[in-house]
This record gives sequence, C-alpha cells and structure tokens, in this order.
Amino acid sequence: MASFRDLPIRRKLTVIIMATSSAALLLACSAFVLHDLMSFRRLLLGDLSTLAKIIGSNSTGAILFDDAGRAEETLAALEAETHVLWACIYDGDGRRMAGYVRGGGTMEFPAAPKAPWHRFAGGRLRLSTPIVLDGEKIGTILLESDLGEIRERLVRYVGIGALVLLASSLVALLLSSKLQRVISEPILRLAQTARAVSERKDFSVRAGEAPHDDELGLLVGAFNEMLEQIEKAQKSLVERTREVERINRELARSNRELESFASVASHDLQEPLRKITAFGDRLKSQCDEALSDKGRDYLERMQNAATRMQSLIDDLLAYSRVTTRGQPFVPVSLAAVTQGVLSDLELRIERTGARIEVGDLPTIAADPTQMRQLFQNLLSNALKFQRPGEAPRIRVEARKLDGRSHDQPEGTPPGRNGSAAIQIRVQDNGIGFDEKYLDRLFKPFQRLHGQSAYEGTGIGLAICKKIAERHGGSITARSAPGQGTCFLVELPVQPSRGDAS
Amino acid sequence: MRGRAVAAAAILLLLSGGLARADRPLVTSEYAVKAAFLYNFAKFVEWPADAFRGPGDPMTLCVLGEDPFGGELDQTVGGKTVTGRQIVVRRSTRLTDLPECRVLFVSSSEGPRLAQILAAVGDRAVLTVGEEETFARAGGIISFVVRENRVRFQIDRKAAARAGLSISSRLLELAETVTGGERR
Repeated sequence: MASFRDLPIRRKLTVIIMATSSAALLLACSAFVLHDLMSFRRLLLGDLSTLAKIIGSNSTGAILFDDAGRAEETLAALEAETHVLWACIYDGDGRRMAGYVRGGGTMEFPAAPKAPWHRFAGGRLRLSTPIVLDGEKIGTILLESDLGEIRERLVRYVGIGALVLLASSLVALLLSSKLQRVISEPILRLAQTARAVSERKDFSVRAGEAPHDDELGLLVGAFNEMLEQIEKAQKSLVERTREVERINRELARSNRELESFASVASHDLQEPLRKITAFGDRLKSQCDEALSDKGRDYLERMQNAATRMQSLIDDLLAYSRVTTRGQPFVPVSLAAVTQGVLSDLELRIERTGARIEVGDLPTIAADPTQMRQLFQNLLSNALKFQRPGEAPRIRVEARKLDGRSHDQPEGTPPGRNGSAAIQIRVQDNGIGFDEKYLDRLFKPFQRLHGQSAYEGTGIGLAICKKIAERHGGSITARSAPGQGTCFLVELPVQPSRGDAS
Repeated sequence: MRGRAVAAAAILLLLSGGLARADRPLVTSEYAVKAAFLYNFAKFVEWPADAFRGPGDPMTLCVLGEDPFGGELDQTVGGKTVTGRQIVVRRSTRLTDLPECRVLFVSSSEGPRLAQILAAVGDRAVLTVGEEETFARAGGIISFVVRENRVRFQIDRKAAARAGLSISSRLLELAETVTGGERR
C-alpha cells in the first residue's frame, strides 16, 4: 500500500472517516460484547443456582423419606437442561443419595461440599447449593454445567458484530464519500488552480468563488486575492523588465559603438601619428645640421611624445580588443601559459635578477590569448615595481575554491552558482601600495606612481580586470606600502553560459 | 436437635440399604424410621388456618393406643418445630383424652376399633396415620406399609381433602399408591 501521506486528499479524508468510525464501532461492540458476556455469566450462574434450588426443593421429600429412586427421578428432569453435564444429591450427612450424568454415563462424583460454592473453570461452571426445608439444611446438591451457551453467544455476537461493522462501514463509506467533498472539493479546486498557475504561469485564473464562510472559504478567498496581487505585480514586472531590457539593449549598443569607436579612433589616430614620427625621423636624419641645439631638443621632446602617444593608442586598442576580439573558450593549461610568458620575459628576469617560483597550475576553459595577456601583465607588473636595490621574488600559485571561502575578497562572483573556481595568486616583494587606492588600480590610465619612476601607460591592470570579468571571474589585490603586493584572480573552471560570447 | 435429625437421616439411609453402606448392621428399629416419617409428614401438610388457635399454638402429635415407638418418637421430635410451632407429643388409649391433635397416630392395637375412632375424628383437620392398608381402607389418610424391608406409605387424598388438609405434591409423589377408600 502506498504511504498514507501520499494519498490524494479525497482518499485520505475517506480513510480517516472510515478508520474513525470503524474504531469507534469496534470499541463499542467490544465493550458491549464484554459487558454482555460478563452479565451473561452472572445470569448463567443465577440460572444454574435457581435450577439447583428447584431440584433441591423438589427432592426434599425424597431426602426426608429416604426415597433414592424418587431423587434419581427428580435429577433425571435435568435431561431438559442441555448444558447440565452432571448433578448429584447428598443427604444431610453428606452421603450421596442420587446422581445424574448427561447421556446416562457413569462417573466418580466428588465428595459433598461443605458450603455453598461455585467455580468457573475449563469452560465449565460447577456449583453447590444446600437443600433447605423449613429453615433446616437437609442435604446438598452439586452440579456442573458447560459454558457452551457463552461460546454460542460469543460466536453469534462476533457474527452480528462483523455484519454491523460491514453494514456501517458501507454506510460510512457512502456518507464519507459524500461529506468529504465539502472539504476536499475546494481544496482540489485550489490545487488545480495552483497547478494551472505554476504550469502555465497564467495568473489570470481564479479558484472560483469561496463556497463557504469557513477556513476553506477564507483560504480560497485569500488565494484568489493573492493571485490578483501577483497578476498586478507581474504585469508591472513585465513592463519593468521590458523597460530594463530596452535600456540594456541600448546600453550594449552604445557600449559596442563606444568600443568600435575607440578601435576605429585608435586606428585613425595612428595614421597621422605615423606621419609625425616618420617626418620627425627624417628631420633628425636629414636636417640635423640645420637645427640649433634648441631645435634638436624640441625635436627630441616631440619624438618622445609621439612614441608615448603610440603606446597609449596601442594600449587603448588592446583594451578594447578584450571584448571585441575575444576568442571562444578552450581548455587552456595555465602552467604552459606561465612558462610561455616567463620565456618572453627572460631578458628582464635576467637583468633584474628576479627569482620566480611557479606552483601547480590547473587547466581551465578560457581564451588562450587573453590568459597569456593576463599572466604577462601580472608578471611584468611584479617585475616592474621592484624596490630599489632588491631583486624581485615572485611566486605564482593556484588553489581550488570550494563555494565561498573566508579568504575570498569581497564581491567575488565565482563559485556563486556552485561551479568550481580557482584562485590564482601572484605574490611579489615589490614596493606595494596603500589599499585605499585599490579602486583606482584597475581603472584605465590610472597610475599610482609618477611616470618618471616607472614606465607604462597604466592600462595593464585595467586589461587584467576586463579579461577576468569576461571569463566570469574577478581580480583584486592585497598590499601595503613597502610590503609587496599579492594579486588575486578568481576564475571559474568552466565558464557559465553566455561567457564565451 | 440437629444431631437427632442427622441421626434420623442416618437411620433412614441404613434402612434403605441401597446407597448406604449395606454391610453396616441394622441397629434401628422399624419404628425409629416411622417416628422420623411421622415428624416429616407434618412438614408437607398444610392445616386450615382455623385449625390452630394462634401463632403460639403447638403442633400436637398424638399416639392412640399402645405406643410402638418406645423412646424413638420423643427422641426424634424433642425440641423441634414445624413451621415455627413447637411439637408436643401426647399419648392415650382413649380418643377423648386427645382433644388438640393435629397428627393422630393410631396404633395397630386399636385395629378392631378403627372405624369408630375414625368416625369420632370425623372431618376435623387431623392428619390420621395408621398401620397397614387396612387403615386406609377404614378411611385413614396415611398408612405405613413395609416393602422389601423398607418403610413406605400410602396416602388417601380424598380422606385428606375431607379433613381440609392439603398435602404437598412432594409428599404425594413419594406415596406408594394413592387410594380412594370411602369411609363406610
């Protein structure tokens, strides 16, 4: 049988009603039968006692006038009492005068009892009564009866009880199947409505009018009211969503426009810049003698500015390409990427005398070019911002993140949807910075240090941030002035939907 | 007094010889049994209300003629009551000496005068008890008979009815034959 809790409410109600009524009826029947059997036992005892007294009274003459034959005849009248098994009469001295055994058999009669007495045992009732005449005890009668009547009665009662139970169960079934509707139908209607709502997302349906003024009516009413409110809220939500979507589309469009503008603008800016550089070079090589010292200084400064503008344009292009020239995600071994970057940076490493340790790095789904760019930027950053007179020590390692770890910086999204993520740490022993400038650190062209001290446009970390975000990850840093810096990049092992677009 | 009743019952049993131990010697006489019977008869007979003068009136048991009981009768009924009445035993050879009799035992010595005696008793409420069938034939109510060494009795219901006595069916069913002898 299926679990009772899983039954439909209609069946559940019927079962409850049936079980309750059957239990009550069964209990009542049992109590009645028990009471009746007990009183019947008393009745039987009374009957047998009366019978004994009658027999005794009828045999007073036989006892007093010593007529054993007559006493036997009196006892023989017990033949009509089908449950009396045997009986015997004792005279005043306790001597047996007459005996009777049902069916005419013989038996060893017990000795005369001294006092009135009865006993229920082994499905039999044995009873003795004194025979009294004129206030004088003149003898004793002892007889035994079987309790077949009780058994017959019990069998009859069980039969009747079963019939009553069956009949009343049928009636209860009929009644309950009618009455349970009062409760089950509003609930079923409610359930159907709820299913319709959840399946079709149609909040315009209603559970029908509240049928009664009870809790169910209240429930149906409240449910309908709730639906109404949801419908209203949904309508405004749909409108708002449409509005948001429209704004989003617009934003995306203007973003794309902006990016393509940046890209196009950068391309277009390069053309005149190349001319400036080219003519500057010619000026320097062909007209060097014509220039005064002052003119040569101006030319030198102009060419430096042109070079700087070239690198600014290159960086701007690189920044915009993160999104416009993104490649689809493929499995990328971060260990291989790191090795590639380190070999590119070999000269600088040698020059600075840096020591670089690389821990175990995993393979993740990512854009290989951008991963290379990320590591390139972070490592060259670490090499660049070294403390004067101290060789850089850099450690690169990765670890798995399980869900939300305590170590996670604020506002880090990976692992949020339960998918696995990794954290890449790039730790250096460089100059460090004050964490209150953390916001500025990842913004394009923002620099914490003067250009004279450390070269660069200040776009590198902005690109890192953009790459991390494009991969559904994040980047942050921990540092203090003079304490070195630790960059923390979190990336999902598998990109979530839509990241690769 | 209970002891005597028990003794009487024991005697009855011994006499009956059926269910009692037959090997025990018979020590009681026929009249010891008859004495007990005489007393027991009174228990099964109902006298008319006016037969007694009051509630304290004793149950008088008379023996007319030679007393065959010896001491047995006094021993049997001594101190006993029937329906609350003290039993008193009186003896005489003349009926006129016995005016208050409720039970009248007529000894076999009075055989020749049976008719006169019974005529003298008339229809008064007196339970007449005598010996042999001849007593019944003469109009007496209960007659002792001896059958196979056992004391039994006969009852004349018509005679009892004439005397205004009602005899319990329990006694009647024990009587050997219920004769219907007419008085004269």
